[in-house]
This record gives sequence, C-alpha cells and structure tokens, in this order.
Amino acid sequence: MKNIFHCHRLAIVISIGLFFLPFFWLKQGFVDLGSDGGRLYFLDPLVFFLNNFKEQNPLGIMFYATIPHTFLLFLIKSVLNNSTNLIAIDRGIQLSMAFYVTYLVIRELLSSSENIIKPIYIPWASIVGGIVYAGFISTINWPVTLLTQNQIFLNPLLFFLFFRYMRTKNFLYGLGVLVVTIVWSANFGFGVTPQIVSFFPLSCLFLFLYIRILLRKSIPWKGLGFLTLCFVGLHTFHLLPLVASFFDKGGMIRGIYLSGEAIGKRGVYYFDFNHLDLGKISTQLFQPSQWNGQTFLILLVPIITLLGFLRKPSKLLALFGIFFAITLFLVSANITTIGVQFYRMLFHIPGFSMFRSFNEKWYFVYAFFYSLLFSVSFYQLFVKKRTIVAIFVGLCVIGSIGYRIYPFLQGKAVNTTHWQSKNVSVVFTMDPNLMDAVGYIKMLPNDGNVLTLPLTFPNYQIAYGKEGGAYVGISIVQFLGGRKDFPGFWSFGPYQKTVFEALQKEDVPGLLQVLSLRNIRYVFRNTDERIMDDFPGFPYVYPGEMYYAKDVIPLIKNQTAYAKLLSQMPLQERFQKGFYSLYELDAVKIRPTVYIPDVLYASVSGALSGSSYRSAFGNELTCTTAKTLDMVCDGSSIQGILPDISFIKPSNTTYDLTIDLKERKDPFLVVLSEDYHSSWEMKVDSKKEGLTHIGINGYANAWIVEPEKIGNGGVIHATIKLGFQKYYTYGWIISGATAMFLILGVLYKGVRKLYGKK
Amino acid sequence: MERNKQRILFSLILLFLVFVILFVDLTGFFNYSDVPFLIGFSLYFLFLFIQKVTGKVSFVMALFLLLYMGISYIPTGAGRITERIGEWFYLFFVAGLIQYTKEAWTKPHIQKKY
Repeated sequence: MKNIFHCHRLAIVISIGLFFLPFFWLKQGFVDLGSDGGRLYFLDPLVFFLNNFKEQNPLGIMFYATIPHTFLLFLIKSVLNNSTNLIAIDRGIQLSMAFYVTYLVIRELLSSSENIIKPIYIPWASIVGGIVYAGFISTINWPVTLLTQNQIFLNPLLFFLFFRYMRTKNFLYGLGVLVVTIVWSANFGFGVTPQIVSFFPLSCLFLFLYIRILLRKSIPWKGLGFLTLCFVGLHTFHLLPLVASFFDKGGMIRGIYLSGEAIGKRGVYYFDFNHLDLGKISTQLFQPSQWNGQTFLILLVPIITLLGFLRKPSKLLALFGIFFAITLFLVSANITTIGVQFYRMLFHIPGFSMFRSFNEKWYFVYAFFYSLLFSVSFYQLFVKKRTIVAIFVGLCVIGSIGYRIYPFLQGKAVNTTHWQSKNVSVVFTMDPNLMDAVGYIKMLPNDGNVLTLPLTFPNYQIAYGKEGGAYVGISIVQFLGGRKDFPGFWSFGPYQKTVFEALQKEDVPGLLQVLSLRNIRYVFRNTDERIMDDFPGFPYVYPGEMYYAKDVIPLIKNQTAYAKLLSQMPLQERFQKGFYSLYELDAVKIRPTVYIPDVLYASVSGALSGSSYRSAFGNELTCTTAKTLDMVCDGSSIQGILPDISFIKPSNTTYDLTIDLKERKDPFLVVLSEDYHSSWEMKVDSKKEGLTHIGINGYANAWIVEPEKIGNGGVIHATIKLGFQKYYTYGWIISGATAMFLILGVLYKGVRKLYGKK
Repeated sequence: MERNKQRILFSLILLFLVFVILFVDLTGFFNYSDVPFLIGFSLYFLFLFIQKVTGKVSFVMALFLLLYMGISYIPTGAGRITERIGEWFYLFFVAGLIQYTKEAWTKPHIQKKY
C-alpha cells in the first residue's frame, strides 16, 4: 500500500515538473503566435472572444466553439497580464495532464481487470506508460500548436471520466465530462471534427467491449443518454448553427465535406498524391523524436509491446492489440495495395475527406492506444518477475525516452524558424507600433474592409517583432482589429486571379475596381523591407501557377515598387507609426457596403473596364431574373433617376436603410457587399413583397426592388437581416437553459446531501 | 513416426519458402505488389494448419521483422525497404493477434482471468 502511495506521489511530482517545464521555453516578453489556424488568442483573448461573438453568420461556425475557452484564457490573462506565461500555462497543462491522465487511465484499467493487485506493478506500469505517451506527443508540431492540440490530454481525460462513470455510475464523473467539454469547448467544435470522429467512436467501442465482455458489467444506458442530452444542450450555441449549415443547400459545411469536389479533389486526389510520403509504418511504430531519432533506443517500446504477447493469453491485451492494429492501419494508411485501396474507398463515405491527412488526424487515437497497449504488455511481462527487474526495465524505457526528447524538454521544439524563411525565428516580442496601428483600426467607423500589404500567397500576415523573429499567421487586422481583411491572394475568393492579373498587367484602375467591388476602403501597409527579403516563399506563390520569383509581378516586387503602386492610387494617409501606415481610399472610388448600381454588366470584365465605381455585374442566373423585371445586363446606364440610399449598421448582421425613391416607378437594384447567403432578407415595412433576392458581383447579395409593388413613391425605410443568425440566438438560449438546469440540479443534490447528513 | 518427421520437414520447407518470398520481395522483384503477401501467407497458414502452433510463432516472426525494420530504419530512415518490412510485420502481427484472441477466449486453462 505504501508503495502505491509512493508511486502516486511520483506521478504527481512528474506531472508538476512537466507543468512548469514550458515556463523555461520562452524568455519573458517573447511569444510565438503564428500558424494557419491562429494563436492570437494568447495575445488578446478578450478581443478574440468579442470578435468571435460578433460573427453570428455562416463564417462564425468555424470559430464559434472557441468562445468559452477564449473567455477562460481572458480570465487567466487578466490575472497574469502576460502572454508569455499564458502560453506556458497552456503548454504546461497539455504536457502535465497528458502524462497524469494517461497514468490514471492505465492504473484504472489494470486495477479493474486484475484479481490480485500486486502493490507496485500496476502504478509503475502506469507511470512508464504515461511517460511513453508524453514521449509520443513530443513529436507533434509544437511551434504552431493550435487549440486542436488539447486533444493530447482531453482524449485520455474524457476516456478516464467516461470509464469511471460507466463503472461506478456516479454522475459526478458525468458532470466532470460536461465541465471539461465546456471549458475546452474549442475542442468540440467544427475545427476539430476529425479529431473527435477519430477518437470517440473507437474509444467508446473499446469501453463498451471492456465493460461488457471483460468486466461483465452493465452499461448505464439511461445515464449515458442523459449525459449526451446535457452535452448537446450545453454545446447548442455552436452546434445548432453547425447543423443548420449542414442542412443548408450550398452551405459551407456541406461544401467542405459533402460536395463532389470534397470527395474527389480534397479527398481522393490529395490522398493519392500524398499517401506514400505521409504514411510511414516505421515512423508510427518507432515514434522517433526530432532529435536522436535514429538510435537503437527507438526499438525499446515496440519490442516490449510485442513481448507481452508471448506471455499467457490475456483478454485485455488482446482487446488492446485489436484497437492498436486498427489505429496503426488508419494512421499509416499505407499497408498493402488492398489496404490503400480500402482507405481510398472510404472517401466515398460522406465527410471522410476530413481524414485525408490521415497521419495527423488518426495520430491522437493511435498514440493513446499504443501507450495503453505498451503499458499492459509491460505489466504482463514483468508481473511475475522480481520488482527490481520491472523497475530497472521501466527506468531504461524512461531513460531512453528522456534521452530522445531531452531537446524537446529544453524547448528546442518551440524555438525554431519559419518555413520558407531565411532562418527567421518564430519567437519574438510584439512591436508596440503594430499594436498601436491595430488599436487605431479598431476605432475606425464600420464602413469598409481592409487590404493588408504586402500581399501574400495564401492569406497570412507577416510582421517582425521588436526583438527576435517574426509573426506569420492569420490576419492580426481581422482577428484583433475586428475588421474584415484581405491580406493575401486567397482572401479575395472569386477575385484572386483577377487581382493577380491586374497586378501583373499593372492595371491600377482594374485593381481599384476590384478593391471597390470587395468594399475595401482602407489599406494597411507594413513597410518593413525584411518581410520581403527574408521570406523568399512569400508572397508570390500563386495557386495553380507556382511563381516563386518576385519579378513575376514587378508592380509589387519590393517595398519601393509598393510605394510606387500606392502613389498611383487615390489614398489619404490616416495613420503612421514605425513600419505601419493606414490609408483611406477616395470615397468616390469605393462602393459603399450598401449601394444602388448605376450600370449592370453581364461579367466581371465589364465592371473592371468600366468607368463607373457604382456599377455591378451579375451571372447568367442573375441576369435572367433581372430580365423578367426589365433590367438588362448590357453595360448601359440604368434608365431614369436612381433613388438615394443611406444606411446604418446596428449589428454585424443587420442594416437599416433609408431609400429616397424620388418618385421612381421602374425596378432598381440594392446591393449589399456581404458574402451571399440565401438567408439575407430585405424587408420594407416588415414585408418582402416587391423585393427579389439575387446574387451579384460574384460574391455579394442584391435585391431587385419594384417600387410599384411597395406602393410608396417617397422615402422608404427598409431593413436587411441575416436570417441565419437566429440559430445562434436559439443556441445560446438552449445552452444557457441547460447550464442553469445543471447548476440548479447540482445545488439541489448538494443541499439534499447536506440535509441528509444532518 | 516417419510420417511425423515428414510433416516437420514439410513445415520447415514451408517456413523457409515464406522467408525466401519475404527476402525476394524486399529486392523489389514483385514490384512491391500484394502477390508476395498472398503467396507468403498462404504458405504460412498452411504451416500453421499442419503444425497447429499458437499465436506465439506469429509474434516471434513479427518480432524478428520488427528488429529487422529497426536495423533498416536506424541508418536509412523510413525508406521503401523499411516500409515493406513494416507491411510484413503488420500482417504477421495481425495473424498472431487473431490466434492470440482466439486462444484468450477459448483456452481458459492457459489464460489469465482477463
């Protein structure tokens, strides 16, 4: 008993050590915030939280689940007031919890399945297993860790809580599951669907088999059903919009996972192209670290894992072996030609394209089952041996892992350089001038979007820190400044090729038309020469046509060329500090967010070559619809006196319009420069009569207004609202009600228990 | 007795052939297709059928391949040959696992409680 206590204390000491380790990785004041998913919530969690909260539209689905978690980060940061320590705490939790909870899982599984518990063997096997798991997870991409990486400890933690709940039927463990899922809500949203789908079905199946077949106990189905209901209820604030988008024809989620392109190009094509490079059985078995990866020490864990099978047959080991074999097949996806063809076929299952990067997506579940299998094997192998042998071999395993991941423990995985850069460090201190510029952007009126220069190939923003390296990641202007930003070619959506060609042909009026059509009013420029010189891979790699040489677009080949380009545009400087400047484009050249077009073209080329900065263009469907109302996409001015329009924007999803019809009787268009969605709805006096919703300008919304049907020749007041937003409202109501129900339930139970005791 | 000797000899020949196919496959002779797996495992299952051995033999084979894969991996990394050995390892591991699972559930006299 004393030994068990010592082992448990040792596990706690190791996990405390692992928690404090990341505090030594970054110098005070330094941060690493980049990556394509963005880690800006470490810099300013409150602003990140508020910006996400405002996104009650189809785009919001992507980040909405992060709201409770970023709020938690805000609470922690308000105590620390330091991003460096916030990052260290986040990583410390990941490391220490990953070890400690894996230790608990192994201890629990082994204790439950053994008749006679030998004092030292189970906790020792659990500690060694926990260290093995910590060694495995050290190989993942730590410099750009996203919220998804929390899976490394959330998976074992939820497995443990579920297991305890199913064994003891004590609802407190169920409550633990709910609390954990809401605190780390980001790990249960849209962005981590592959990690959820890869882990939970397999681990639930394992638990079911373990409890029913091995322990011969009943499953608390009713309790699990209630728990599921509570989980869904609590998470409705982000799940409801997600589900609504799934059932929305042409909706984003449907497009990402279910379209023919998702299955073909994103799924099968990607898999065919990459599976040989990504699917490595040896790498998955040996789990080599970035350093000291190719030594004989990598053999220790797989050999012990296999040797366990040479002892007397054990149902527990057999069960773990089956799950290990399944996950190894999935994580390598490269075992035999038939196996590869089988994995390829799986892409025809709706949504399976999320597993095209199979080596990443199945990794967490694989590493988990591999560690558990190792521990059970280790236990089987040494349970009949002398204690000293088990301790010695365990120490050898721990030593071999410690040796291999020692550079990781020193923080070398984090202190690295940017890909496609001239050894630019990912660690830096924030430039206060940049933060001042972002602060200025926050204060701008909500009347247009921002273009960030220099343009990059995908949609990253690059900014050097005051000290150290540079930030390369999602737009700071958008995620901290709260303004829709266009930092790279990809962000222009249907216009990306047009922008590229306009720049290549030095067609400045054409470029201005694109900026105007995309409602870009401000230009945010970083004049730092280093971001052009030190990142040879940016910004000239254009999709489809790989341009690595900067001379391909002389107009933006360096900062001098950018200065020349901007001198040809009607700009007025609004802000300048350090490397950062903000300009405003001439209002005459910029189409307002809501406007009435004076010319209607049948294609983008017409609008680009035209002289009007209030024109619009439709596609075939739009023009056919317009024609039924005597509006022709012929590039001629729309006949008659056009109404005047003004608007205010009370929220991100509502516009209040005032239209002076000037006695106009003929139909006219009202364009809203927001991404098209069928649920955008315009109403005049709460009526939709005389208003036909169409798509315009390749991405935006428009309504054909028929004044005669509205029946008012003077000034009318209209509203435009995004109907989709209602799902967020309903979601919050349901989530709030579930939270209240749970809090009251716990209080009631607590009071009753207290009373009972008295 | 004579028949038993012949059976052992035949089994050893089968096992030898499995190894021959394995090593020939590693030279790329079969263009890394599934044919050597099919032939190799047909012979191996015949060997198992004749000898009626436990899953341990398959795991010993898997262990040998694991070590071989490790020796191949340490100097060269995850190359074509290493990965091919990995495929053989996986198949022997799965073969052993099937036998092992069967033994764990059907031979209570030699198994642990769980």
